[in-house]
Amino acid sequence: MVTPTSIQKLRDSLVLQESMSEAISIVSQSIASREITILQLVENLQPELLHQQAAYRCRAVSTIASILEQLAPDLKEINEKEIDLITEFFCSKLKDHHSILPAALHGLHVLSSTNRLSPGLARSISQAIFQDVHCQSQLQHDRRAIYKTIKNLLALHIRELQILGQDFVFGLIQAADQERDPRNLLILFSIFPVVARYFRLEPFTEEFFEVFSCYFPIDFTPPANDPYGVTKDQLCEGLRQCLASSAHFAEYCMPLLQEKLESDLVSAKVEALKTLELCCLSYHPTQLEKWIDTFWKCIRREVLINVNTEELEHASLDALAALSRAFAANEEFKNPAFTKLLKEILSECQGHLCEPERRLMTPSSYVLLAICSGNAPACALIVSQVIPLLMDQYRIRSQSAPRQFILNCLNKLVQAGLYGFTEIDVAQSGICPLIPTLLELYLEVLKEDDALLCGLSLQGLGHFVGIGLNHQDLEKVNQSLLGLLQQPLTTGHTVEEIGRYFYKCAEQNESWFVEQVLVKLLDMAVSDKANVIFLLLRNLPPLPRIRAQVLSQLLARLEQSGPELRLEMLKTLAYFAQHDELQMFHQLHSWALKTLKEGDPPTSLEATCGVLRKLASSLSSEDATQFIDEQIGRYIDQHLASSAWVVPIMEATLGSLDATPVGQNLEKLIKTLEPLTICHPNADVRISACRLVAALINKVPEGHELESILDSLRTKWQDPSADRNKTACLFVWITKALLMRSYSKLDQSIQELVEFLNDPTHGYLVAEGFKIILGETEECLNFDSHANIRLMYRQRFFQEVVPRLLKLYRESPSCNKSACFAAIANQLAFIPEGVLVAHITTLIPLLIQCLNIEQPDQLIISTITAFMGLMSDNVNAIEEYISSLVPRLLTLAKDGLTMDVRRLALRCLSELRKAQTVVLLPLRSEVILRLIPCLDDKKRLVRREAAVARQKWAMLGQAGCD
Amino acid sequence: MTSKGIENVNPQRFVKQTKREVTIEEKDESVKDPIDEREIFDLLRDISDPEHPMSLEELNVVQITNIEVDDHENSVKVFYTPTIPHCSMATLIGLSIKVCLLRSLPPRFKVEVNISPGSHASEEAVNKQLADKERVSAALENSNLLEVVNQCIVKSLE
Repeated sequence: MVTPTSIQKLRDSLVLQESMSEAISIVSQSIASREITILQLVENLQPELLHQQAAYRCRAVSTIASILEQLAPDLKEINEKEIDLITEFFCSKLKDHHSILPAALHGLHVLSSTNRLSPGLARSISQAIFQDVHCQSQLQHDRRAIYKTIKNLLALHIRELQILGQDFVFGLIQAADQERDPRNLLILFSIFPVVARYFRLEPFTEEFFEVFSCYFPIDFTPPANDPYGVTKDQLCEGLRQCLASSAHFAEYCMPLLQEKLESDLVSAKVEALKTLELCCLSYHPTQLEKWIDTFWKCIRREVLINVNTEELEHASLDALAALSRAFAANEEFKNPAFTKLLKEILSECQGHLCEPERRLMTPSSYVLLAICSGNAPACALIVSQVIPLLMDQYRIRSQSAPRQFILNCLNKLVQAGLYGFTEIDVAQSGICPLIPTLLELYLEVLKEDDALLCGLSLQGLGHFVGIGLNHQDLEKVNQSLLGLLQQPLTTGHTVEEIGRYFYKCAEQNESWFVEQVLVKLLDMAVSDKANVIFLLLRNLPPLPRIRAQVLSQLLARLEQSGPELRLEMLKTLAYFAQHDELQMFHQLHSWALKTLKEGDPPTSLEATCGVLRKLASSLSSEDATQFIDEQIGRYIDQHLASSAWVVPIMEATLGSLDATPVGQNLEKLIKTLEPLTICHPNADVRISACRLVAALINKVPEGHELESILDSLRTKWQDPSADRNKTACLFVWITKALLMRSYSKLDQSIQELVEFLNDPTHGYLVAEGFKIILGETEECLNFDSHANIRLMYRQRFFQEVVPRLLKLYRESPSCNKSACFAAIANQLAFIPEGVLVAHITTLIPLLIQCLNIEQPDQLIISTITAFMGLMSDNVNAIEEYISSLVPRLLTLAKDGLTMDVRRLALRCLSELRKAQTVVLLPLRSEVILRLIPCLDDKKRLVRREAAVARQKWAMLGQAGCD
Repeated sequence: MTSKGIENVNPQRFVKQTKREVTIEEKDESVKDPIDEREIFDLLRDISDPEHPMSLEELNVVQITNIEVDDHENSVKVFYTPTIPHCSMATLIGLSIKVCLLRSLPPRFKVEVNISPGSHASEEAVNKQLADKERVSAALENSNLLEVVNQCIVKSLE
């Protein structure tokens, strides 16, 4: 038979002891393409496999295993007979020289991962391993291979292994006993529960339990830089699953847990309690009953006697809850041991509950709640005994503090007692007969003049919403609440709780709520408590009937009410306004137009515009187009003629709609607005007009129409006779509109902007405008108002403008430097870190120069703000400049002319605390010393900032402040 | 702190004051604002208790009525009330108050921190400790103590 070339190569490298990986992958490829078979490979390797020296045999076996691994896990190129033979081959190699064992185990591990083993093979693999390998004398890696093989076999061939029965269990005990490596233990901990569940353990139950219980409780600290990432938690969780895996372990496990609960180590106790919790799920109540008493003693000690860490307390209560849950079924509940426990707990806790001044009240309520959770009969018993007791206790106390504790307890028990019940089956809960008296008590509390008690009472009442209260009761509660709202002394806290109660009611039964409560609330909305009522309304769920009621009532009343009430109403409208409300939009719009008159704007204009904007932006584009067609003529011819304050309303509607005016309408509109942008005497009207023009331009498609509008606007802002202050504003807004849409001739606008910046008197205004250009605006030109926004326009602008500004600064010594700096500083807050990093080394030194008391205040403020913006995102970027920044800030903090400058400088010094301590430490003593005069600043607001900054720097590098 | 347990497990919580409102005078550059009781109270109110995640204000340990300030005479006196008469944290709370004031008031002030009369079992001893400069600075040399004090103060700065 001719040896295929690929195998020949493999043999050559075997003999020459070269690196095999290449040859192995070639051979496995040719097996995969079925050029050769695995049997051919074994036959051809015969000389090496039968070689006298074990080292040769080992290399050959290992090669075959590696080739097999490349074909795993489906091994589809190898037929069943071949798999049989290969399996037998590896099994027989286990008997060979000990140095060959690792390679054979490797091969068997690969084979165990396939599901194509024919019947009987899984059994022979496990038998071979158990008989021929002494597991614990192998290296960690090989033991791992054994465990993984067993795990695979259990996952795929468990029925076959079950036939082995006791032999398998015994073999596993021998192989796993005394394993020490945490990585291997993790695998074993996943094997044991499977074996415990599916194999008959007799007569080895105790031995099997011993194999893993000896690790309990786990004490393991992973080595530093552990590359395997095995954690203590993983091991604990794994072991817990093993201990709780079978009810047969109960007789061994319970004493073990009890012993650990007596230990002094907190971690051992916690582990024991967590295991107990898990065991309660799988062990039978009859196995638990004789231990109940012992465990309760331990838990009692941890919760009621000792003061412990939260972890231990939680674990204790969870274990108690699990114990109680195990006895939840009817027949188990009558178990004498559990009944005795329940009695004992009840009598002890009832005693503690009568002493709200002592510390045991809260823990005993936790104990009772733990018993209640998941055990309905026990819960009913506890509730029926403890609630009357607490109610009595409440009545005999007169001070606020103990009453708070009692109410708190009561509320928790009420919640526990009602848990899982609905309107229909609430009669079965133990709490049902108590409801009338409870209600009486809660209503009594509401009459107290104590906000905290009222709040607790409302929380308690909240538990009854939807369960347990009939219409009469609800009526009573509502009357008390509405009465409470009308009282002059009701605090914000109580109102908040009332809001929560109403929210629940409204969710539960909307129509009842609208008829019984909402109507009355709305009636009260005109009284002197109106603002409280509106606050409540804004906290209701926006359900359809509630919305309809509120909207119709408020819209009808808008006209008659006074200015303050109107603001509240508009806020409430804004809360309830939802998508596509054409009718409400029209109604509010025509109302808003009616309020306008010559002279001062109506006080509610801003709020009205806010609601209109929200409504307008949600209209469909058809409705929007229709509105534009109808309205533009009216705006221009009627409304504008009577009052200029229609401009903000136009902005709110036209600027936010999902449609733009076209053709003549647009032309006419712009022509009307143009003069207003610059010539109107009122600044608010001017800015509003500028924004509206900008919003329109932003949406007009590029082309002749846009160009002609821009040309006409350009003559406006370039008009030398006009007030530069006003033209700058228009120019900035137009630039923003063009920038956002990535206008093709933007370059020209940017150049114009830079030139404008150089204007000695008004450059600064334009520099401030950079904030507008890059910032988000609430009124228009944002996503909600359907503006035309291209991604990353800010970055593009920044990249474009900064080099020009730097060029201007360097090349023309006469330029308006402070405007130039301010323009840079104003941009920084808006630019993402990634873009900024490229420019930071040139920009920061320039900006630090601006921090000088001789510079104008505005520049200093915008520069410090820019630094603070940088620090909040990426303090590392400026770390190397901190040493030159700090002295300048200190000077400004002391000698800054205005208090805004001083405060900001001090705040910036506080913020610097975010930088690495190493960088700051050299500056610490200087800062602490130079901040002393600031502590005595004549302005209180400055002193406050100075105190914070100085304390932060004083603690720098000390213990306890990182 | 001899036992690991908490001494007062269920402290009573009091309602917090609202933020001090900024007046027109405070915004006016030319007016000098005197240092007053409320300003001292604002420095101290958010210091947290060493035992509970609550502020000294919420526990009524520091009250505005128990602060005396004389801006001209350069004196500040703070009387604080431990939550229970046997509170072993009393000294620690006093130390935190003192340290906070020393760090954040101009050095011209003489700062006195005392326990409100009659509110603590070892009132005199604690007052004496807090008044002794040497002992205060010695206490701050102890890194464990300093750590607890800083932890109490650091939350008031956020």
